[in-house]
Amino acid sequence: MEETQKPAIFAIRTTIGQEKNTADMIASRAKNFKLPVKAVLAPTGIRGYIFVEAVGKTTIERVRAGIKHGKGMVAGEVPITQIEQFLVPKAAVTGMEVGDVVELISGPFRGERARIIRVDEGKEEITVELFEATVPIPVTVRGDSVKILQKKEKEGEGEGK
Amino acid sequence: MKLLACRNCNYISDSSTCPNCGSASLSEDWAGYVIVLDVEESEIAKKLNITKPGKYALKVR
Repeated sequence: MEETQKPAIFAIRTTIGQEKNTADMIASRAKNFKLPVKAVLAPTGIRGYIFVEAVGKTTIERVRAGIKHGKGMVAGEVPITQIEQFLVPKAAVTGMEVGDVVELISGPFRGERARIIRVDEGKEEITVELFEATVPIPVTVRGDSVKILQKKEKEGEGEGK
Repeated sequence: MKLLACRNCNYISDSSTCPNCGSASLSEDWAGYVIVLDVEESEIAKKLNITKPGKYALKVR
């Protein structure tokens, strides 16, 4: 009876950082037990959840059973329109502008605060100047290794932010 | 062995050339992970224009 149903997308809660492993395990279980799982998605923007496209809720329960990092299932189906935003990942430097204050979250300057002096959207890199450095040295880092702390204040907006 | 993603078709493999499209332009810097098992019926595969089952990256640098 399940074969006549259309596949739907369900969200499964996983251990944070184990999304890819869980996706692999679900895919191999689906293959071994010949379950009607169509696709497994572990997007970057969302931590602790993966999406499984399968026929019927029972398939998800069967495929999840016994997987260590599969913590549970989110009730209800997820419409494809909500998933679309994860399928086309936006550039890591989206929303970053010259003058923004950022904190470096990886690399040798981890934890340092800096100001953006150049944004390279093609390479997804930004060039920053560290606050702590006595001599201003431009450092080029990847867009995903910084966190925006404070946006540059636009002229005319005043200080009320 | 480290998994590499094809810059051309985003297919993930551990070989030196892409088993999907034959390209030698592979990258170990990729993000996002999709496993497509049934291309015919998968809505996700259709959205990503995937025609062969396998593992794919969403973004390859």
